[in-house]
Amino acid sequence: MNDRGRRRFLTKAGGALLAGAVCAPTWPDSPHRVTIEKMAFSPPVLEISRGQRVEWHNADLVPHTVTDTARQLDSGPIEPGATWAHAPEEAGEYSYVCTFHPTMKGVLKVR
Amino acid sequence: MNRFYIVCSVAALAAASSFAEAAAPTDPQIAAIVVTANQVDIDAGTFAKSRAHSEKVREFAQLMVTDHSAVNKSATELARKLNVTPEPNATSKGLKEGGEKNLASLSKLSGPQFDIAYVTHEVDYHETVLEALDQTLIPGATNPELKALLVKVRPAFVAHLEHARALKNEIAKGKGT
Repeated sequence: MNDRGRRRFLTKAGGALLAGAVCAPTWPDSPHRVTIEKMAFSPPVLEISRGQRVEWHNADLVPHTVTDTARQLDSGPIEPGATWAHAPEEAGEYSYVCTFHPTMKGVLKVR
Repeated sequence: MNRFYIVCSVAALAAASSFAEAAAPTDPQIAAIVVTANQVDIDAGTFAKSRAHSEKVREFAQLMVTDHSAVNKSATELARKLNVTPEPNATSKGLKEGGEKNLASLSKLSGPQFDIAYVTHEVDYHETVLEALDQTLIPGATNPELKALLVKVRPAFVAHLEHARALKNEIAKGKGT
């Protein structure tokens, strides 16, 4: 490739990268994240729209669960370092706990 | 429950605090103390799961087995990664002996007597572990990753202590069934 061809190629490549950066989906398709750390859910209260995906990541050394009283949310054991994801379709306020450590509490508000 | 055995099984950890005054434990010694402390509670929990009278105490015992096994898995993996071989020492040996005495004492009990003895021991044990973590093990760890692991595990021990205290109060009020 000569100098002219190289410049044309780089211009096209740069333009494609820029277009990709502008068009790349970010919010609202990016999942919301709740970190489970120091035996607590962070943030403890999260508000989302119906169908949005939420990830609960266990950054502790012990297993946890995400379980609401009606069991509409029920992760089962989330092992240390693992992530559980859910996208609720029904609006409502889900108060949940870790069934292993019931002092750990969180709320998911679905609009 | 013979209070003597409770004192024996946690005395070794309490000694870890005074251990620091004489000679700070090395990282390999700290690794041995952590692994042994977890194993002692796994053994007590395994026994209590089959012997406890109340469902809540059996659930608590299972939780101790699950959580302390998970902590030991992380501690063992980290020791392997850091090429640290846990080095048995007076504190870890004392913990092991204390755990064996506790099991021998618990094996003579059954029913609600067993439950209160096991849970009382768990309260004392976690109080002492937290004291050792704060006063000796965390300040004494020189490797940053080992220190970080000890800091990371601390909230779980706090949660266990609160859980054990609440359970002890429920049993005392006759609600821990």
